[in-house]
Amino acid sequence: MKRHYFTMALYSIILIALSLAVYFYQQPFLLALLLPLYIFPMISVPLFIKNYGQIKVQVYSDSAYVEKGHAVPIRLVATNPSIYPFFRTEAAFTLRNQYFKETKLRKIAIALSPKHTEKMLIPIENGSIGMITFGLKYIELYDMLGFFSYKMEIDRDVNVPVLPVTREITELVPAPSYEGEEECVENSNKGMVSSDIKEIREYHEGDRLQRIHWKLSSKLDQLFVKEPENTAVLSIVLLPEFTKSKIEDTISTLLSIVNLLNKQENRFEVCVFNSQTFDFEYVMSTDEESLLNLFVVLYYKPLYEGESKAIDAYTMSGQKKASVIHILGDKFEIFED
Amino acid sequence: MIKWLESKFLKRTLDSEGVAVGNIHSETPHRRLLICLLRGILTFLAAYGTIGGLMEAMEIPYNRLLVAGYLLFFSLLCTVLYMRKIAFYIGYIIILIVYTIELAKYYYYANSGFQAITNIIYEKYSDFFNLLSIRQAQEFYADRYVTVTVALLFIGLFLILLLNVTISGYMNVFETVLITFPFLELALYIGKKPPIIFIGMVLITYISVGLMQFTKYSRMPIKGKNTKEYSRVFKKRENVYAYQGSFSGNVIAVCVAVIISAVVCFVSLPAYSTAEVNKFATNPVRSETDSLITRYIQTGFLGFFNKYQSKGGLSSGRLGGVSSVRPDFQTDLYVTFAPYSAQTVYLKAFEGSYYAINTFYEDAIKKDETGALEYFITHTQIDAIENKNIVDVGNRATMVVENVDADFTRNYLPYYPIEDSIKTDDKLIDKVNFYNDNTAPGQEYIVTFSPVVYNDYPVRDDKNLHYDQYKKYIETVCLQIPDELQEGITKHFDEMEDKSLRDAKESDYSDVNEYRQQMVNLIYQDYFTNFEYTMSPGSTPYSSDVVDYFINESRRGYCAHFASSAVMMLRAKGVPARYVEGYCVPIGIIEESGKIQPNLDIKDWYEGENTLGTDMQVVTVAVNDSYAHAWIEVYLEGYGFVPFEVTPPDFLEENDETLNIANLFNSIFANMNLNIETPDPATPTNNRNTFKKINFNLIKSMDLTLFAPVISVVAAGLIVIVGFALYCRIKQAIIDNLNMKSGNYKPFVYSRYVKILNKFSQKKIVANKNALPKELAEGLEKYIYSLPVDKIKYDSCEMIKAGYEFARITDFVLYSGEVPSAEEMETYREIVKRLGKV
Repeated sequence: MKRHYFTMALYSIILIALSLAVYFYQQPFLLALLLPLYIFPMISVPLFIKNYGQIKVQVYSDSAYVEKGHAVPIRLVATNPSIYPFFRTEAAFTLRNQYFKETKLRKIAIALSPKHTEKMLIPIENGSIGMITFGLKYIELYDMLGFFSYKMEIDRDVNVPVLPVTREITELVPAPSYEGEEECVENSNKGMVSSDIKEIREYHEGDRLQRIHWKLSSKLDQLFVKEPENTAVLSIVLLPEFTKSKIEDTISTLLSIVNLLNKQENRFEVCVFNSQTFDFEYVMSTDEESLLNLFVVLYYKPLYEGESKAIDAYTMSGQKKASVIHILGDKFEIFED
Repeated sequence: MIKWLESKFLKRTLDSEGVAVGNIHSETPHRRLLICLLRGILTFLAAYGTIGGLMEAMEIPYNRLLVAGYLLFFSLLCTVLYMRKIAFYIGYIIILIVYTIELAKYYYYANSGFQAITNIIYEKYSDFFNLLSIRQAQEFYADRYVTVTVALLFIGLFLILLLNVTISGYMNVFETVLITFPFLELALYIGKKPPIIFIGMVLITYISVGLMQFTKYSRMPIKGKNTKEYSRVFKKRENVYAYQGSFSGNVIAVCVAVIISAVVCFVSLPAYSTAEVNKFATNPVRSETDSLITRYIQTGFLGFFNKYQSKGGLSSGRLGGVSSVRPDFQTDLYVTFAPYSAQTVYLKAFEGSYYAINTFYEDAIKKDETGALEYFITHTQIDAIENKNIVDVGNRATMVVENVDADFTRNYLPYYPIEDSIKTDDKLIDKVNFYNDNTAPGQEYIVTFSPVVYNDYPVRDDKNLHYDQYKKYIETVCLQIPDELQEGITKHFDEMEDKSLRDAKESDYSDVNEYRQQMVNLIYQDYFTNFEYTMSPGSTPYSSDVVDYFINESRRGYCAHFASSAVMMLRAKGVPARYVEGYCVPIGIIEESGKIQPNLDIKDWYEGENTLGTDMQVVTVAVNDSYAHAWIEVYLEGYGFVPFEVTPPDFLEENDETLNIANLFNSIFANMNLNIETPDPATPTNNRNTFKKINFNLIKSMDLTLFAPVISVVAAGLIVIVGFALYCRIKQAIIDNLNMKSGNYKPFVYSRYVKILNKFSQKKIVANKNALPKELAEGLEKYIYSLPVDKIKYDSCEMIKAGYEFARITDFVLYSGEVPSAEEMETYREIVKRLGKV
C-alpha cells in the first residue's frame, strides 16, 4: 500500500483553508462545502482497504497475428466484484516491437465501477513488421481521494507478430524434385502417407497433420505421428538473409514465396540463420500454425549488416542438399545444388 | 488541423518506436449520448442552482418555471454538442450569434433586468453594511418580474456555455466552483439564504465533477470518430491515455455525489435554517473583508487601485490618485437660504495656491531656484486679508449650514462672506426645519454673505490688498508652476488646433482683466471641444503629473482635473489663479428637492437685488457628496479673486456608462449601431414600489415578451440539432454512395447490419447484441410467428424471406470476402428498407 503524502497535504491545506473560512466568515455554504470533505475520507479509505484485493485482470490479443498496417487488438479485462467504485485505476504497460528499442512505461485510466467488468480494446498501431509485445506490468488502484494506492503486480506479456504485406510472385520456377540415394520422393503421395512405417514417434511442432496416428493418439491421450520409411526429401530450402536494412522486404518476399509454394503444394523448408551462433534452424510452414511458428523464429533472430552472411555460411557448412532460394530484400535467387 | 497534427505525431512515434497506442476505448458501448445528457443535467444543476439560488435568496421575483425549463433545455443541448467536434464548433457559433442578436433585440429588457438585479443586490448590501443608497442604475422598464426573467435567460445561457466547457470539456471542479460559487456567496455573505435545495444542487455538481475529474477518464474532449489522443498526450507530456469513461462509471459518481449531498443537506439543515450572519465583524479577517467589500460597493473595482480613498466629497487638493469617484449620495450638508437667482450657488471650502507633486496646498509657499523657502504665508492669513476686502454690491443674505457628513475641519462659505460672517445663532437655527429630524444634528452655523446677482462686480479700491505680502502672494504663488510641468503645458498649447491661446499676449489687450477672462474662455472652449467629462478617468500613472497626463494624454476627467489644469495653464499665460473646492448648489437641486420653509420670514434671510422677484422663499436643500465640486478663482485687478466655472457639462454623467460594471450590456452595445427599439424616454423609472414578491404566475409567464427570446433561442437550438442530424445523414449517404460506386460494399453492408442488429436487439427480436446474420434472420422469423396476426402490418412471408436474404448477403459480403454483384446490392438495399419497417 502506497501513501501519497503530497495529496494528503494538499487535501489538508484545502480542509484547513475552508475550515478557517468557515470560522472567520460563518458562511453556511462554506460549511456545506466543508462537510463532504470530512465525510469522504471516512467512507473512502476503509472501503478501499477492504476491497482492493478483489480486482481481477486479464490481458490477451484478439488476433494471433496481424498484417502490417493493421492494429493489434489487445484486450484488457478488469473485473471489480466489490461494491466500491474504484474511480481511479491505472494500468501500466510497455510496448515493444522486437526490431526497435523498448518504449517507456505508459499508463491508462480504467473505470472500475462496482460489480462491473470493464473490457477495453487497446489497439496497437504498428509501422513495421516485427514481434509486438504488450507487457502489462501492474494495475494501480487508488482510493477516492488519492491518499492511498495499491499496486497489483502483473507482469504479463502478449506477443503478436506483425506479418509483412505480401506481393504476387509468378516468376518462381517450380523446383525440380530431387531424388537422393538414401531418400525417395513422395511426390505421388501428397498426403505423405506411406504404407511402410519406419517408426512411430511423439508429435513435434511442425509435423504434418496427415501423419498423426489418430487411433494411437486417442488411446494414449497423446499425439503420435507415423514416420514413413521412405521420407520425402525436402527439395526446396528458403534461405532469408537477415540484413538489417532490408529485413522488411526480405521477410515480405519470403512470405510471398511461402504462400506461392504452399499454393503449388510444393514441399519446402525455411532455413533460418542465426548470425551469433552460426546455427541453422529448419522450419516448415504448411499451415497457419506453422506459419506463425516460422515468424516467431524469424523475428527473434538477430539482424546483421552484411548481405551474404547466411548464404555463405550455408554453403560453407554443407547443409542439406536442395534447391536453395536465397532471399535478400525484394530479390531472390535460386541455387541448384 | 488537429487530425493532421495527430497523424504527424503518430508517424513520428511509429518511425522511432515501431508501435504506438491507438484510440483506446471501452468495449462497453460508449453511450456517448447518455454521457452527454448526464453532464447536461450536471450543468443544469450548477447553472440553476446558482442563478435560482441567488434570486431566491435576494427575493428577486422571476418566472421560475420558464427560467428552469429554459436552462434545462440549453444545458442538455450544449452538452449534446460535445457528441461531435463539428457539432460543437458550429453549434457554439450559431448559439453565440443568435444570443448576440437576441440580446441586441431585447437589450433594454435584458439591461433593465440586469440593472434591477444589481440594484436589488446593492440595496441589500447597503442595508447590511448601513451604507444607505449607494447606486441606482437606470431601469428602462418598471416591471421587474418581466425584465429580471429576460435578463436571467441571457445570463443563464452565458453561464451554461461556460459551465459546459468546464464540466463536459475539462471536467474541472476548480473552474466550476470558480464560476458558480460567487453567485451564491454573494447572497450568503450577507445572510441571505436560498432554500437548501439550491445548495444541494450545486453540491451535487461539485462532488460529481470532482470525482469524475479524479478518475482521469471522464474528460470528454471534442473528438471525431477517428481522433486520437496523441496531441493531448504529447502536449501534456504524460503517458496517461484519457478515454471516455463508461456511462455506468459516470452514473456511479453522480449517485455518490447525490448521496453525500443529501447527507450534508440533511445534517446541516437545522443549522442552516437558524444560523444568522453577524452584521458586525467579530474578527480582523472578516473586518478586512467587509471593508474591501464596502470599498468595492462604494468605489467599484477600480477603487482598489486608488492611491487614497475617496467616497466623494472634497479631495482637499489631492489629485490624480483616484481612478473613479463613486459618491455615496449621502447627504453631506443641509443648506438653508433664500435662492436669489437661477445661478448655481458655490460653497467654498478649500483653496489651493501652491502646487507640487499632484497636490494643491492651501498655505502659500515660494521656493527659489535652489529649493530654499523664499516666501511663506498661511491660508488663514490670506483669508484674513481677503475678508476685509470682499466684493460687496450691497446685497445681504443669510445661510444656515448644517454639516452632517462633510469634512468637519472646514467651513462651507458662499460668495462673498462678509467679515466675521460665521456665527452660531441658536434662535435662527432652531427655526430651521432640517431634513434630518431623526438624526443627531451635525455642525451648524450661520453665514452672512453678499451675493453678486448680475455679475456686476464693483470696482474696488484695492489699496488694502496691496500689502507687499499679498501682492507677492499673487505675483509669485498664484503664478507658480512646477518646472517639470512647463514643458507639458507648452506642448499642449502647441498641439491645440486653435492657436489663439498659445499666441495670446497680455500686451495685445488694453485691459488686463479682459485678457485674463479671455484666457479662461479659451481654456473652457478647449475643454468643451477636446475633453471628456467622466467620473471614472482612471488614476494617473505614478510617474506622471496629473495636469500633464490630463491635458496631453487622457483628456478625460472630472471637475478636479479640469480646474487644476486650468489653473496651471492660466498661470502659464501669466494669469494669477488658484484652485478651489467645495460644494455647488445648482438651481435644479433646489427645484427638485428643496424643502420650503414656510415659517421663515424671507426678510430675515435676504435683502437686495434678485432675479426671482416675489417668488423668493427660504428653502432647505440636502446637498449630497455628488455635488462636491472643484472650480477656479482668477485674480482680476480691482476685483480680487473671482470664481470661474471651467468644467464642461457632463452629458453621460447620469449613468456613468463607460465603466459602470452594472451597465454590462450598455458597455457591450455602446458602440454598436443596432436597430434597437428604444423605450419611451418619458417613462424611465426606478420605482422601488413596483417590487412585489410574485410567485409563479402562469398567465404572466405567457407574456409574449418573455417568450419571444426564449422561442428564438430555442428555435436556434433546434436548428442546431436538426442541422447536425442532417449533416450526419448526408455525410453517411455520401460515404455510402462513394463506397458503392467503387465496389467497396463491405462498409455499407456492415453499417446496415449493425443498424438492423441494434434495432432488433432493442425490440428483443434477437437476444444477443452480437448475433450472427443467420441468428438475426431466425430471430426475426420467430418474432413474426409470435405476433398476433392482426398486429402484423406487413407481408410476414416476404419479411421472413427478406430476413434470410439479408443474412445471406451479409454473410457473403462480410465473411467470404467475395464481391457481390451490383444487382444483389440493389436487392440488399431494398431488403434493408423493408426490414426497417419491422
